[in-house]
Amino acid sequence: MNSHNSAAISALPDRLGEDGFGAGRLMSPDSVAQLIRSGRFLSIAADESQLRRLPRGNWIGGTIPYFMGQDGGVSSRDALFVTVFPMLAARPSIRFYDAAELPRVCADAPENGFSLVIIPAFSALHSRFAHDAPGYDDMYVKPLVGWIAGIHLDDLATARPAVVNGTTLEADCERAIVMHVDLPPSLHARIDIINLFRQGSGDRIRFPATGFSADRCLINGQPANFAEYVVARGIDTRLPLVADYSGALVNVSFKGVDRERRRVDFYAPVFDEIEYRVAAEVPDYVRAFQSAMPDAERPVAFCCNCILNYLYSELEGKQTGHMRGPMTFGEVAYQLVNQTLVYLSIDAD
Amino acid sequence: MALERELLNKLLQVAAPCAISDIRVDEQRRRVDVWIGVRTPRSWFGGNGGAADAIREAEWRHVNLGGYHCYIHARLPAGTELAEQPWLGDDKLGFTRAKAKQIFALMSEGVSYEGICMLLDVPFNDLWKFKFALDSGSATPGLQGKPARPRGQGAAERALAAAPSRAPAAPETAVPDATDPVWQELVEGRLPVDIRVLSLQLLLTRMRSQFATIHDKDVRLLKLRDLHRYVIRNERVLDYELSQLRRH
Repeated sequence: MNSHNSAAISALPDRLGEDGFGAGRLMSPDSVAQLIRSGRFLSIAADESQLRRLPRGNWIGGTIPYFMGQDGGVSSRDALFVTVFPMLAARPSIRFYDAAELPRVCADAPENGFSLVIIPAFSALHSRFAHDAPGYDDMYVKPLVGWIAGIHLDDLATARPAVVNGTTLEADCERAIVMHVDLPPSLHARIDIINLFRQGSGDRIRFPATGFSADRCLINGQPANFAEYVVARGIDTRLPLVADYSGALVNVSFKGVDRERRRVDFYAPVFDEIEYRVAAEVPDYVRAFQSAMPDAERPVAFCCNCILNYLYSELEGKQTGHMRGPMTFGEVAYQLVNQTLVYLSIDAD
Repeated sequence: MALERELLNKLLQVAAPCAISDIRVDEQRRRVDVWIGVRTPRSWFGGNGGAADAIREAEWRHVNLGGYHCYIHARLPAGTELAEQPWLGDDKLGFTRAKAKQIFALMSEGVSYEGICMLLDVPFNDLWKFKFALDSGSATPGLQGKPARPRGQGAAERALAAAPSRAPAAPETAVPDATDPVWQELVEGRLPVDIRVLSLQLLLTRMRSQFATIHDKDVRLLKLRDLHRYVIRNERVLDYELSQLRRH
């Protein structure tokens, strides 16, 4: 996992984001510092050690050392993934949100624009957002995109994911950092997902309560214990549960099966009103991904993909087309999703 | 004190068999607490203390009295049947009917939650609980029993007919009117519409699950208005979906 692709981060930013929105890229610390000093508004993903070295400026950051860079999947504690948000209308605003404030994040968003949120994994806020976001004021009305900050998997016992407000250089493990970006009337933002998983043809699964873990469930309408069901059926827990949201396929990833407590834990909540099925297998992730890619001409302003896709699909060193970004501990496409690529595009009317 | 009680009985519209038993005014916090119970021939809240006379206690935020926050503390024998009274509330909503009616009216007009909090001096968390209870169908705003309304037209319907607030005016819009039955048919899954925009897919899924549990007509109409507002706001990305809606 500890590969380091120096070639991928050596290049200077060139014309990155100078003329408009464009996919981000991996950069060296010096190049990022130079970009920050130019006054641009940036989203930065990197290992905490790198974020702490950056100068004050118009940026928000989150910790993560896994990326889909310009040369493919890479794990690096030295590289920083940078996305530039050009200021085309009003000056973007940057602020922290705590648990009491986050339900207002969409209401605070500009009338025409989008908001980028980064939330530290394992925080109480992460759980609250996952559970409550669908009910936020103005949710789905204004575009909310983002990701869950994580850490190197070797550091799970010793480090905590954090987010950073670059304007103050303040880091936080319990609050979300948000950049609200205005767009001129001639442009509009749109959030899409690429989910390579499809519902399998197996049992229909429902849960009696919304939550990050489940014991009781209904399998095809019959009461059962979900942990026992997963074990008895030999279900591959690298495959997520998939729900059909009016045509959008939304995953909930397995975190683990606790046989002793007869409980299954998830990386996102299962909702009581939603029906799930275990995903069908994806034989060749990279090929499936490339065939699912949208038009390369369409400008992508921001993108992130899931660390589980990186791990399970062995994406290290492999290319997934023009979609580049951090490989995260959860993705935000309005609400929290798992094992999904999320991207934001800016379209002209 | 008797005079205060008599005055508050009138202001709060407390009707027999209920009556105010106590009033406390906190000048510093600008807060009035009013205790209301059922008066029996022998004592307040009646009976001899047996199980059959168990007291149900509740506290609800009421409409402000002048510049004072007003809280109603109801102590009612379990099973007491009371006519609709504006000071009564729903435990899940946390507000009296009169206060809930105010909040709901502003929601129906599309006022933002922040705006409602500011206008009615309500904490955001309390409003959040109120909305959650409505969304989950576990409570209704208690608009039944309010003064006569035009037949077949609820508060939300009237609000739908009113000028839009958060939705920007769009005279050239191709979006069907908010009162068009197409919105209800869409939410109920009766229209075969192929939806490609993620936000609409997620919103519709949420609304469909809410409609499965919400039976209050006014709350349902409030949700349809939210859907209409979403479509107006996002008309630019919904060409494909709207072209299908217009064919129905």
